[in-house]
Amino acid sequence: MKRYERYMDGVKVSDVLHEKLTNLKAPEKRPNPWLKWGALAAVVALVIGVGAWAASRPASSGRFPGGPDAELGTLTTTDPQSEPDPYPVEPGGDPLETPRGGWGYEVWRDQVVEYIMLPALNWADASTMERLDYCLAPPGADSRGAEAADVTALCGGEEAMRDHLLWDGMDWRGTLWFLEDGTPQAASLYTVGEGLRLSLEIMKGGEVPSCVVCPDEAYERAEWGGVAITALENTGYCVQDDGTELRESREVSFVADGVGYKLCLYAADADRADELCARFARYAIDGGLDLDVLPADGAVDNAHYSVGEPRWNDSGEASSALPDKGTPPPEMPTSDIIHPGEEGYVEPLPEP
Amino acid sequence: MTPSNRLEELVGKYENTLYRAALAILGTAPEAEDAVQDTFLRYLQTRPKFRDESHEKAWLLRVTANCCKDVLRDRQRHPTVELLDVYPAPNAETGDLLEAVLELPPDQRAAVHLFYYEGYSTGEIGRILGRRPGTVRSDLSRAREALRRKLKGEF
Repeated sequence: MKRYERYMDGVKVSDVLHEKLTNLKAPEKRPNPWLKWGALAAVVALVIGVGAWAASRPASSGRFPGGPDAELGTLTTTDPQSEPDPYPVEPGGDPLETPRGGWGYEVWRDQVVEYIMLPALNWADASTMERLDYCLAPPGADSRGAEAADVTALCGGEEAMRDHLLWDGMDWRGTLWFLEDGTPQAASLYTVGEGLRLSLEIMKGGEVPSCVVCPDEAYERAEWGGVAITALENTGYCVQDDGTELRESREVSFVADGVGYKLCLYAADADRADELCARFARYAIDGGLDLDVLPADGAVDNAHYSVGEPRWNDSGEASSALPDKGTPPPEMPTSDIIHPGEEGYVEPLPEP
Repeated sequence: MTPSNRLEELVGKYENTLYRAALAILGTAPEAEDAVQDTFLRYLQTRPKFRDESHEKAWLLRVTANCCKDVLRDRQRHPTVELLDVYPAPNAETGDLLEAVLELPPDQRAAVHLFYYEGYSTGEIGRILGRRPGTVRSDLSRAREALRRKLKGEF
């Protein structure tokens, strides 16, 4: 690259630019759009924001920008004015320290780049938190097994899964629940791969029940797009078939547009765990997942236990299992996960 | 040292370094000038404390790279053909090389510049650009391959 070096050695700033640089003054602090506003400013911003959001969406899709319906060949980016400063530097801090989140990733289409910011999640230690059992299945719902193609459709296509979620090549399974009229209501999905185990639960109408009692009042949830995100780590570990222990455990949950999401993850690599969680949070909050695309074909009256819990009858009381009405959807495996405090839990080895 | 003296010192030391990096990433002189200006404005806003000179330089380059990413997000046009028109004048020796470099995607151009011109390792480049070292190595490998093909091995 000698020629390149010789060329660059000759590149210098002009006298005009040099003069400008030496005479720069510190700018006045501009208000951070994510700080608290007065009521009027908030309303105006909401109106403008909704208008800009609607204008920026591809006409045929309500999905995440850059998804399969987005027009390729144009620079599809999020509006920089609506995003917080992506590279905040605190005075006195080390800005070269890679944060746990708060960075982003690029999606390339030929020569055009789309840069997606990721939220900086605030992780709470779940190792000492109380655990509860819960049931995701809505009372009286019909259910069917979920296939990989369902999850692909749910996430907006293979391209979106690959570029935004890093979920390419994953073999998802699980259960989908529908109301009597065929409206999708909830999903319990899981996938196991090399060095990774994911489970995803989605539920319309509110928070997905969590088996971990929420952190105490001192815990401050990260926010993204007005959505508060609960982020837990040290929820347990996963022992894979070959004996490998996936010790990096994460759980992120939030409610966006009236739909509750909970992603549980076990991985070997901490960075990968953090990134997958941040990407999922951003993608889901921005509307990248859509339960309503899933057809109810083949769903039957929910006659089976879900996630190993008692079935609720219409009066809300637990009842014994009803007669089998077909092949039950696969239950999410749980025997490979060991939570802190459970029998057989082994503390991680200390760091070298 | 007063703040304005400190700024003048940093400008004197790094203005060309930052300008060259911004030019490599963005490919246009006017946008590179804006990125350098924004970098020093960011410095004035935050006044970070540096451990040493190498930290100081890496921080400034990181902010420059971030400012360039902001420009790339806003860019609405295809960069290839127009870029050479607004690049500082190449000569006969470097014209085809610059054309080949400008055809690389910005992330590869950034990696090439920081690796070959500034002499950073792939790990250091990863921290400056906010990318994984493995990704930087892939960028370099793809860039070398593309340049080799276009320039028939001589660059």
